[in-house]
Amino acid sequence: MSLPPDHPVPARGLLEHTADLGLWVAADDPAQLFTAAVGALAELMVSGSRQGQLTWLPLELEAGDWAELLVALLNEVVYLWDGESLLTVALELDQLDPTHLQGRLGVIPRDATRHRTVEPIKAVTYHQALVEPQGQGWRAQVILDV
Amino acid sequence: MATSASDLTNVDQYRWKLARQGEMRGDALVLADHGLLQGILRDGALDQLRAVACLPGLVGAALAMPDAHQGYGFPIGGVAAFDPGEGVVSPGGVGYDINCGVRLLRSKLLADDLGPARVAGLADALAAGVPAGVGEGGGRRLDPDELDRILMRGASWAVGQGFGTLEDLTFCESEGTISGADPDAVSDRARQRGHGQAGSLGAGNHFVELGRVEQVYDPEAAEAYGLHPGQLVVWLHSGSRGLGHQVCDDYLRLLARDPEALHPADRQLVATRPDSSNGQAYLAAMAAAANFAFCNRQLLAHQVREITMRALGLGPAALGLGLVYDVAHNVVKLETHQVNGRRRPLWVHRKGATRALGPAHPDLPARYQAVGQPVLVPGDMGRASYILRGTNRAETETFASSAHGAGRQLSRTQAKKQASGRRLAQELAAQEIQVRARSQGTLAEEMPEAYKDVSQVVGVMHGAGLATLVARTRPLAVIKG
Repeated sequence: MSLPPDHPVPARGLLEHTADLGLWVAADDPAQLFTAAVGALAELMVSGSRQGQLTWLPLELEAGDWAELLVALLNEVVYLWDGESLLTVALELDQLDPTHLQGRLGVIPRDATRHRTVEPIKAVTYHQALVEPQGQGWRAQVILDV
Repeated sequence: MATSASDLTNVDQYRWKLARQGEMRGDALVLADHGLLQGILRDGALDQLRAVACLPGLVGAALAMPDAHQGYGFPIGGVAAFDPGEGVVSPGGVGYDINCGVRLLRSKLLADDLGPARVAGLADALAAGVPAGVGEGGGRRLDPDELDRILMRGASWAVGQGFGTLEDLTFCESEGTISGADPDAVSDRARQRGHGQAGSLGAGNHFVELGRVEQVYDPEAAEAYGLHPGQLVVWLHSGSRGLGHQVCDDYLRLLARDPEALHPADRQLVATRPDSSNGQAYLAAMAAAANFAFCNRQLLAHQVREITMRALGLGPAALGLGLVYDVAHNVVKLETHQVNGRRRPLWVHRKGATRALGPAHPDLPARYQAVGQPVLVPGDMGRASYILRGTNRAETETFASSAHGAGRQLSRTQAKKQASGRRLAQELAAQEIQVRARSQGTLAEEMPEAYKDVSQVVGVMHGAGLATLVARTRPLAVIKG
């Protein structure tokens, strides 16, 4: 999917998939792209306040390439919500290259009175996963298991 | 290059063959009528089936059931069998929701005796009492030893704790326990996702449905299954919850970095030899997750029984919610099948497909020996669901496999667009179908038009002689996860 040249970045949108959902994100550079993808996924999963007791969780991931790295990162967001009842609200990166990511995820506790599931996303898949330069910036897409 | 209709040979009214070509190790066979075939071609499912047919050690054809649609790795509705020595196992051939499946409970009640008001009351009670939603737990909180026992024993753990009867196990595929499970192959993360989710429905397309038997097509099989016209039945659809998803993700990630694994262009189709160390670990973890799912459905069925007894003021004998059958949709199992006149063990992957054993199969309970396995095919929330019976023809042609549901035809975003401005719950209520959904978004995504017509799907299975019609049920109330 191409963006018009004057489209502000980072941008995001949904992709069609028969059974599930796709998510695309565009940004100026890989760091902005990964950060935007985390935010877009968390918003697609859960609505409600992002205020709360913020905790930073250290994160280090290894992967074979950009796409595999992004899938691993986004599955962290899914796991934290489903396994730990923690909503990801921020990503800080210290290092990012195609096979390695180091940084921390900012999380707040689930609050049943303020948080509502928007899409019941259970996994981020490798199917058609893509991270690539596009024009002057970068673009990513993933298919989400709902 | 995308597969088109011109690439297919029309074998008969219900069979379309993509002959072996290029890197394919065998043919691909699509079971569909002309109308369903167009949908399968349109969304790329056949391209995925072609990729499956390229995996090494494929035995026979890679198969697409009539409810097939695009998945990731395998198409949903895909079946493929592999030689234990030359072949592979693939987490993408099982999917994320390991042993997602369906169970059907029959009752001693006539639906018409309840009337709409009591059905609505029961729907409210089930919606309030059955835990649902993503990550919202609500299930039994398990200590590590309990979880280990569930991963090893599946539904039999639940029955041992008093959540059901020994007879329930008789009427589960594999008696509710897949052998070879190893809790140590399941990661701490998967355990963490699962420890509060046993006995919970989940979200998405998972549901509890109260139905009425509308029509019996095959009295002999219906009698064996304990079904009769007018009867109240309960359908349950759920799987291994976050635990299964995490197992799938863990092993996809492990295999992605395994130089000895096979790495097709679609990363979701990564595969490994069954006897490799990672293959063995995946199979042990997959079996554990499948057992968690069997246990989950057993616990859900127990809750449904308890809630229904309370809501209707009946005891267990009067209610009589007995298990017709419990089938797995997403699983790989080592099974013995006859191929070219020779019986041989095969790793059979079913991703969105139902096992369908014919009469006299040794894995069937005595009560079903004469008629074959109940093949449970739920439809959408507005039309119908079907019970079929497995045939001996399926054993020789599809590795004893059949369709598993209606199959989606609209994406979730398309469904939401089409539902915009409509009052779906009221529309269904006007048809005397009560719906309880956790959100309007879920209701829109799961609206009847989002799915193919299940009657068309089962018509193909019946017409092809692979599973034949026994009974049709109509939804009275649907509780969505």
